[in-house]
Amino acid sequence: MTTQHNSWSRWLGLGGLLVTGLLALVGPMVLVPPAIDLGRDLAGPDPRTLVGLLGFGEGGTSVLASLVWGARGAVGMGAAVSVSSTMVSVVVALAMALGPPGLRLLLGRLVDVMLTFPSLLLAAALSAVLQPGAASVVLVLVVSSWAQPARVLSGLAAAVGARDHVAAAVALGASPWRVARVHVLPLLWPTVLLQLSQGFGGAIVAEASLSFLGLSQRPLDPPFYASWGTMLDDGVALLLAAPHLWWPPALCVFVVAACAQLAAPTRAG
Amino acid sequence: MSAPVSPLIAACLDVLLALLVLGATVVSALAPRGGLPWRLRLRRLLDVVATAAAAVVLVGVATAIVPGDPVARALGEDAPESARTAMAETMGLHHRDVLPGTLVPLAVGGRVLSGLVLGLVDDDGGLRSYRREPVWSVIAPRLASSVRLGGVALGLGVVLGVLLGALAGLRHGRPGGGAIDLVVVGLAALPRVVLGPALVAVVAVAWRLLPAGGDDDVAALVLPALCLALRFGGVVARHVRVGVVDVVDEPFVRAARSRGAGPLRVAVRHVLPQALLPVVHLTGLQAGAVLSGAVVVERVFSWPGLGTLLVERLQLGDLPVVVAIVAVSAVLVVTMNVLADAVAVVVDPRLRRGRAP
Repeated sequence: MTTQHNSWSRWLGLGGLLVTGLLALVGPMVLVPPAIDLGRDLAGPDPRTLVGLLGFGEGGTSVLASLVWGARGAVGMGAAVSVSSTMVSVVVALAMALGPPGLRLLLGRLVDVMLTFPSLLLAAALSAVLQPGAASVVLVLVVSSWAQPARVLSGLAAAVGARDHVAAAVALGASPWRVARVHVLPLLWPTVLLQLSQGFGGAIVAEASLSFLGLSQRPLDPPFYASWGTMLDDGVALLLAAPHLWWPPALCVFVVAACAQLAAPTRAG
Repeated sequence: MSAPVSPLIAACLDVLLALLVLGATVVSALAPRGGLPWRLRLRRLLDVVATAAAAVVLVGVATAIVPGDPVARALGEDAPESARTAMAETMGLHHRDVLPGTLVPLAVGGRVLSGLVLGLVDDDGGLRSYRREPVWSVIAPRLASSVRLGGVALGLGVVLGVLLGALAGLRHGRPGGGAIDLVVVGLAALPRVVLGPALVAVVAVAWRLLPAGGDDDVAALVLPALCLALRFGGVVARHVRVGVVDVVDEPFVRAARSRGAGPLRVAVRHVLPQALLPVVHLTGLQAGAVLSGAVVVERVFSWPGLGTLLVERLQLGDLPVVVAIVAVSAVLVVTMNVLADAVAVVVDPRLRRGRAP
């Protein structure tokens, strides 16, 4: 039943994520954002130079340079958010499935209540009260995204916890910690990977949406100012006059989100 | 102010209400599961009320814990004294004067909840926005247009998702199947923040087919609803596809085929019902996601819904309206989940006996 998704599409997704990672790592080393030059304000693509390959934005900023610097921000933030939120959800899920009854009830209720807040609304509300900074962005997105995977994983962990090998381990005197780590967690790995991959794509889209709404608490100093979300926001304002500002970040957000979906291991024929 | 109650007693009542609500959510989880059907339904109803109330109380508590003075944030530093006291009173922050600091957040949580409930029955007694409007009169028109958009989008998404998912599942492993799979994944991953402006630029501006924004007529509803529904449809389609692939070679399907049932009859009568159960639960879960995804869509298409109201009021620091929107969305989400459970019983006869939801 648990066969892999068509392997070629998984490789496509993993490849796409790898290329994005490389872009984020190498791009900013190669492309230094050029100085402001009002002479080429909103100028179209100029394939003769690398800086002008995708055209220029307001004040003559290079779209390609903003894009690769934005990639660094997006990949770093997406990785930080997906790893932390998956870690939180794994710990909560194991506690919900195997912990003492009182703790299970409390955590179950907490997850219920968290799930009643639509995640983007929660993120918007949180970012309105926090101080600007990269840590705030990560915190906001982790808080608004851990509950859903925790719900999924806890159901699965409870099912694994009811199996015979777990009962045998408990009968042999294994501590709850050992049961969780050695006997339950290994069987959750495919779903954990799925959540990790989907969380990565989801975080990048959520951050872009928050920036688009003008609610992202991104720091405003140079390496960070070029977020894909703020590029989308600027691009929408000039969508008809200068479409070359909008489609590169739009394509990037879409491709990364799609690759994250494809790369995830799914249960299907 | 309205009733001649001493400030200390009023404050204690608010704290008590908050404790009661938070306690009730935990206790309602403690009670044993199972029992008669009508009792189960009553339990679900209580769960709805308790979870939504707890969400409101927690938001109230959070606003009081966050550093900074909420009243100053909403009204600015140089607001007149009367406006400040009115705002502090509507939020329950005036309890600061009589309560020890640690109890104030709880008092605010209780006051916010009682203010919301009072506002339902009595315009004057309830929670008020920073401009002294009753919160429900601010929210009602926005809620109506949000529900209109969300309802159309969910319906459209379910139809689209079931059709596409069935197609993808039935073509699985045959020519063209891979392409349909890619379309499904692409739709499910399509961020609204990207799709919305693209729809505006192509359909509204380049082709001049539909209006790009506003809420004047039915035509203005098409693009935002489509923008919400395409992605939701993609998510639904992924689940339907998996369900169809799972059962398409089962003995009962082959038996139907060997009895001479046509491909359409096999698909509609025998395969699809097996794949519909996740769709029901997904629709319940996605009701919240559609509401929150709608923030971006509302902004792009200037649709006057709850999401844009929330963002506006967050930036103004108008906490009473924010809290009320949270309450509405919590009630909406939990109700949709309960409805989904009820519909699931209709769709899947196996759930009718024995197994508690």
